[in-house]
Amino acid sequence: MRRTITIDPITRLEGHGKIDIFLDEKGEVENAYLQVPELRGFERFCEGRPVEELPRITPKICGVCPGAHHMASAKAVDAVFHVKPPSAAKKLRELYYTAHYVHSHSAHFYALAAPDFVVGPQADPKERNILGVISRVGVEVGKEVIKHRAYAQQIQATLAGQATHPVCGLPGGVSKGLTEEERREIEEKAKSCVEFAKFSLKVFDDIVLKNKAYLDLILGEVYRMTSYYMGLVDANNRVNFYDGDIRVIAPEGNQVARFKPADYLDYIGEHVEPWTYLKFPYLKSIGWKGLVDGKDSGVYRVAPLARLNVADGMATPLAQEAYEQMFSTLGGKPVHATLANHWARVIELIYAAERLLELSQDPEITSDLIRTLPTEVPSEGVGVVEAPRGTLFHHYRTDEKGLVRRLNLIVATGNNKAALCLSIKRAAQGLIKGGQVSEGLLNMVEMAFRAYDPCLGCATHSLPGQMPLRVNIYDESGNLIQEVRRD
Amino acid sequence: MRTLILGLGSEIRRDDAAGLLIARQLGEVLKDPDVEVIESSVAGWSLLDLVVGYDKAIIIDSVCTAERQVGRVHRLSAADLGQWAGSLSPHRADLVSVLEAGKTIGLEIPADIVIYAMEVSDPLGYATEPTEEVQRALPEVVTFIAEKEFQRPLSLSSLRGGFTDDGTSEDSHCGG
Repeated sequence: MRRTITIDPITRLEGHGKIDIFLDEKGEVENAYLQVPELRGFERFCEGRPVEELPRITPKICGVCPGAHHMASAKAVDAVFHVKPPSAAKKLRELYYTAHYVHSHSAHFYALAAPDFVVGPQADPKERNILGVISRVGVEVGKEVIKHRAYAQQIQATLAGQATHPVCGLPGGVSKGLTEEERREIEEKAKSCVEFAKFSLKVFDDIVLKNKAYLDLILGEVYRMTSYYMGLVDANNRVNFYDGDIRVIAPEGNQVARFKPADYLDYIGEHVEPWTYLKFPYLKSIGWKGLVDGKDSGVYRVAPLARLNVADGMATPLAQEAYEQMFSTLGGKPVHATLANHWARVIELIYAAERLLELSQDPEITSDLIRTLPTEVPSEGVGVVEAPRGTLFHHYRTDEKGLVRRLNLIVATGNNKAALCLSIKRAAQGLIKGGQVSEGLLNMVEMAFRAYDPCLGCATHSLPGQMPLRVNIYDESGNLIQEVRRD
Repeated sequence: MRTLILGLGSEIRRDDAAGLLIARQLGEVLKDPDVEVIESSVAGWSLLDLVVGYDKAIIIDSVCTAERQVGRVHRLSAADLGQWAGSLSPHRADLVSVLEAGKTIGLEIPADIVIYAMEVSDPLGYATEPTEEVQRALPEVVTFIAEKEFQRPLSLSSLRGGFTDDGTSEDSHCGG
């Protein structure tokens, strides 16, 4: 019989990246949960505020991807006011947002993916970082990364007022257009970004794909999960980060749903585990079957691999070519290998750069028709974008004056929570037997972290006061029997 | 010499705004053309973009340590901070590793970096004002840093937020 576990609130506050593993009577792993700080109190904080302030407030949830929250929020505010931004405004927002992707995906690839592969997963953790990469591929590569991230920052700043905390989204449009001179500068930088993205794919190709050991690692069992996948697609079922319908495919690859963002509650439920306060999104039509994968479980995944699985292709030529190559190498669609997220991310980097160039050359991009003034009474709306780490939902309800009454956010890490816990559970099952914990538990668990790069909502705490990972192991009565920490 | 005062934090996370507020006040009282103040809510790799090109950087943030002495200030160098083991990712990029990476690829990272971490009470709640405890302690932190880094003694009463000098200012909560 289970006993209820009370989580000490003080431990919870310090519990950034705290993992609880529950053993059964035989000392085998029954379940594993990642403590992710919820956005507790955020709804209360927003209540009563004018809804048009949310695109400036919500980016402060995370210091790593404020642009994604700004975009989703701006779209939700449009929906609340029942207003459609003019075509030029949508393109300007998307131009900003693709620059954000170039910025985000290049940092992620070189800081995270490349180290795992270049230096090797068995390498000393101290080597497995961007410094290790640079020592292998050369200092010039590092400089190119910095240069193109700076280009992406500058483009974002031109469009949105500040590189890191955008303020351009207004109900019905954007606050600033582009002059021809600004447009030309962006076009030049975008061309360079396309070359840089192609180069990044070559880095991945040289280091990973030409190395059978790494390919085997990608296709190995540890991080294989046959889940459902979700992502935004445009009218032609191509990946689009800014807009589209939400599409869901089953583990076998067939479409099981395609819906407008406003209808998300018909398709996505949130399951509350009785053990903890964590909520797990799942697909309602399949149902919650616990932390298991497979076609009978409503667990789904988001993020680059999911987006590529869900779409029929990429909307730009170089990215499409890379997309085809990935799926033919990995044995067709959908791909269930979690580590393939790193490959998918590079393909998305190429798409983001090509799309950035495409939009910068669009004749409408310098138009001054950048706002439709709202005239209807505000009520309720949903805005969805693809954040770099997955589908992001902003849902607001207001009174007739536009003051916030209710708000619901599902962030990318939230969608992936069940999958992340399942990955951790799988890693733990391999290393905890009969109540005994083997060496290497933390490393295996860390690999799950790196694959999903979860946002623990602590991005503003740049000082590492404590090590970031702590694993608590409980017996079948809920007694804490062991704590594993990295010192 | 170009100096950057970089205040880190979030304006909507109660005491996590401390770093921002301290940096802001310092900028207002120092009014030095060679000192630039940036308030930022970004983390990880984006910090690199902010510090490049300065000779000295003073980074100010909030912290909660086990001792929990609210108002206490820790003065640290990068060498005092640990580095997170395991590879970095955008959500887990500690300051030291990010600075090291920047240096390795030849960016102009400031030669002199000092970090001030103020102990706060609640850095996770959602509010646009810090707790009273922290608000009361802020002026003292500002004077401490102004004195220590700029040799600029300030009277506490000259700072916004008020403070009545009751003779306890010598018995500073500030660490060093």
